[in-house]
Formats: sequence, structure tokens, C-alpha cells
Amino acid sequence: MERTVLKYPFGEPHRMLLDPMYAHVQEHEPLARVQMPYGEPAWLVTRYADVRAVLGDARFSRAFGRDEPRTVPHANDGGLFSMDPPGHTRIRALVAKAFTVRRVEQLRERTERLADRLVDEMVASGPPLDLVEQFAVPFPVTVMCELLGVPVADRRRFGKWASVIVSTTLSPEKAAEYRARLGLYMRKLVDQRRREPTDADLLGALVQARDNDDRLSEPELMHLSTTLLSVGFETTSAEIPNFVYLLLTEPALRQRLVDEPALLPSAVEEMLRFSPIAAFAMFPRYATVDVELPSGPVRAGEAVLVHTAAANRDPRVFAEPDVIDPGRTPNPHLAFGHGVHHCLGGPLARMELRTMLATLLRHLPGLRLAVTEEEIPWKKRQLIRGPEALPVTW
Amino acid sequence: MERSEIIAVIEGSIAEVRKDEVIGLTEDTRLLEDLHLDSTAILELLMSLEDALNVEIDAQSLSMEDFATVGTLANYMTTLLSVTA
Amino acid sequence: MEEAATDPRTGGSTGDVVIPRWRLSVDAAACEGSGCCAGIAPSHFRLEEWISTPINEIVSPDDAVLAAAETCPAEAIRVVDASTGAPVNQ
Repeated sequence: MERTVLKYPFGEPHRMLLDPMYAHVQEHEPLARVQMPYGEPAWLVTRYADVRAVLGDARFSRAFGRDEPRTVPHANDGGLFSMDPPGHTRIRALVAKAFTVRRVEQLRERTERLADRLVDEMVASGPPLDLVEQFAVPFPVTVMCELLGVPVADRRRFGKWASVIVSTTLSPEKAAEYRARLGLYMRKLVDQRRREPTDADLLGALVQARDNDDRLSEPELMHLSTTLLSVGFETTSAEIPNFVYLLLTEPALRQRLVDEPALLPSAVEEMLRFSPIAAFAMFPRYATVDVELPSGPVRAGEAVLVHTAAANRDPRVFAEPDVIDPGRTPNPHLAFGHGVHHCLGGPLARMELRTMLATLLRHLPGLRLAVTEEEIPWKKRQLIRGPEALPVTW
Repeated sequence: MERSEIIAVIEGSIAEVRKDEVIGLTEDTRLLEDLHLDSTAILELLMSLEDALNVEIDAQSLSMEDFATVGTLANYMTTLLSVTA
Repeated sequence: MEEAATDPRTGGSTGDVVIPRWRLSVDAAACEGSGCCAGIAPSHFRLEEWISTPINEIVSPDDAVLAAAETCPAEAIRVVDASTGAPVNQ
């Protein structure tokens, strides 16, 4: 039987809409054959059960080293994300302690003060202003910088270089330059911690893990440090404007949070479920043996792409999936992925998102858009979705 | 900024990149042939200059002639500083 | 075959030969269902509905179990010596 191969990604994302093709294939072609601009064809998996099965099953590898389906010509070195256990586990275990729920809780007070300070500065600046520039970027970046031990003052410089991990429009030369700059920048910080060993920050702890315990090779150290810095930039800083956009365009949602502040953590989970932050499925897994997924078979050597945003709207798991229900329970969404590559920063992101919402709702109850919805510019041709800018007033 | 100051900053950055003192630098000292700076070291040099002079250098806009010698690099930096001043 | 043995140091009976064993548990309230454990140690952990559970409560020492405990974002996995209850060092 001749299968139709679909062009993928399906199209340019529109605001926070999930492309209707996802609902279509989720219903009619749970294992859909797709072809990306570069690389070999792959299965696209969109049902929750199948997505979770792929992500959680050790028979699927991230380290296959084949011609990965992708949107850019050059192969993507995902670092930790492109490794399998046990090599992956060794490195992940080194940083995992810094990002546990308990450890992150210790940062909460400090993070709340930071959020308060940023809002104070916004108020002093006066409306209208761009929430992305004045809050959504500096907030998580400052938290990550302090965690890592990177000078916050440098953030505008390395922020530009860090964009390389989500941009699809940088020329190969520019992308290479930015990657090299990030590497050189991190090298300076690492060398500093070699001269003055410390475990007061994560970078210091990693250098010690390398130098004292040989638990990390030098290239692994450099790659991990650079990744932590870049990722700290580009994810939460995009999700914050997504959340605020939802709040400012769904008055019933906002009112419920104002009336029932105890709903906040659950509301954060629901917005994580609803918000399609990844522009499309990327980072394929490869079946190392024949695997029977709930929806069908995958043969050894085949590539599988999973779209967690689509899985998060699967009516088989989430009743009325396109409705934002801040009290939704249970809410086993896959916004942070699943399995060994489950987002390392998940607990940190959660804490930041809760803090951000609580702070904005408390200090800026009159917050509203300073432009019409149609005037909000959205990121284009990036791996991450969200408003490019969010002009607000109060 | 005086040219001599710019040269001094360049010399300081070169020393930082090579991690040793460089003696006898002149305007004609060639970055590649005499100082043996490879492409990574050149980028490092640019980043050090950016730090020291608080400017942004568009690495893609540089040509081979610009970093042929200390002197040509000083020319480039002078132009950049006057434009961004 | 195990049989009652005599301890050469004390002359007393030692009972069965002691084989090191670990006891695994997952704090279901803390578990966030990330699946890290089942991915790292699939022979030891399984997710039922949304919560992780040990496949066997008593196991032979296995590095993968320690790794799973170390990487759990909720720190929900406890590994103790099955006879003494002392936490196993990670």
C-alpha cells in the first residue's frame, strides 16, 4: 500500500493554535509518514499513548547517528539530549541534584524577590512597555545566571549568541560564530573556576566534578555548561509571554486565578499543557529493535518524531482538550517530555512560572495589552513559539 | 580615542589570548604569520576587544585585510569606534 | 543450598548466608511521573497510570537503581539496605 508522505512541518504556526493537521493525523494516521526539509523520512506520532511510549521506552535511542530529519542543513549536536543511557545517565546525574524540586524550592524566596524587583523597575519605567524585554527575558536569565555563576551583566551579549539554539534563520556562518563565541565565553568562566575552585555555583561544581572526580570529560564539561546557559534563556523566557498572553486574552481564566489563588499551581500545569511551545516535533528517536507501539509497529532503524504539544491535546486523555481548565485534575501533560530526557529544568521552570504569575497578578492587577491581539508580533521560523514582543500597560 | 590607545588595547588583548606577553609588537606585526593566531584565537581576540572597548564587532563584516596586521586592525577599530561613538 | 552455618569468629550459628539486598520505594505523593527512573532502570521501575512503582521491592544491588534515585527530579526514590534499613549511599 502506497503511503502518503506528508511534508513536515505542516506550516508556520499561528499564535497559539495547534495546526489542524495534528488533530487530523492524531485521529486518522496515528503513525503518519513525514518528510522534513533535510534528513530521512520519519514516523510522526501524535497520540498521547504512543508519544509517551516512545519517550519512555529504552528501546528508542537518541544517539543513533543517522541522517536525522530536521529543518536545517547542518546536523544538530544535541549534547546531553543526543545521548543514551548509560553515558547520558552519568552526566545527567551530575547536574540533577541542582534542579530537584527540593533544591529549587530553596531558590524560591530569592526568585520572588527578583520578580518583585523587576516589577518595581517596570512600574518606575512607566507604561506602556514590552513585557518580553522588561520581564520575560531578564527574569529566567537572571535566575539561571545566578545558578550557574555567570555574570548577569553580560546577558545581552550572550543572549544574542544563545539564540543560535532556537533560530532557523541564522546563516551557517553566523550560527557557527555564535556557537564559537558561547564556547569561548564559557571557557573563560571555566578557567576562572579552575584558578579559584568553588562549589558555590553549578559551574564551579561541574569544574570540580571534572578536575577532582574525573566524572566528566573536558568537552562534556564545555558542552554541558554552554547548553545550560542557552537553554536557561530560550525556553522559560518564551513561555512567560505565552502565559501572560493567555491571561490577558482570556478574562475568565484571569478572574478565576484572582478569585482562587490556590489554583495557581494547577493553572500553571494547565497552561503548560495548552501552550504549544515547540514549533514542531524535533529530535527524533530511533527504534533499536522492532517495537510495537499502541497504534502500530515501528521497525528497527526507523526514525520517530513525537509532538508533545499534540499529545497534550489528545481527547483520549484530556477531556475537552482545547479548553483551558485551571482546575484540571489529573493533568499528566508532556510539556516537559518524559523518560530519561525529561526536562532537567522542569522544577525550576515551574517555580519561575508560578512566581511570575503570582507576582504579576498581585502587583499589576490592572495589567492589560497595550495593543490589539492582532498587533502582537509572534516569533517566526524559530524552534520555539511565543510572542516576539508583548506591549502591555496598566 | 587616540590611535596609540587603540594599539595598546589591541596589544593587551593579544597578550590575553596568547596567555603570554608579546614583546616587540609593531603596527606591521602580522596576526597570522607572526603571531600564529588561528581562527578561534582571532575570534577570542575580537571578543576581548569588544569587552575592552565596549563595542560590538560583526565578525562577518571583517575581511582578511582587516586583521592582516596590528595596524590594519587598529584602522578597523578606529572606524568602528567613530561610527558607534 | 542454604543451611545454618557456624560463625568461625563466635562459634555461634549465623543462620542463612547474608546476601546484600536493597529495598526500593517510591514516594507516590512526591512522584511527578517524569519517567526518568523507568527509562534509566526499566527492569526496576514502571509507571502505573501516572506514578512510578518499583517492579520488585527487594532487589540485588544495581547501579542503575542508584542512578534512577539520583536523577529523579522529585527525589521520590528511596533505596535502603533491606536488612538494616540504612540508606544506601549514592
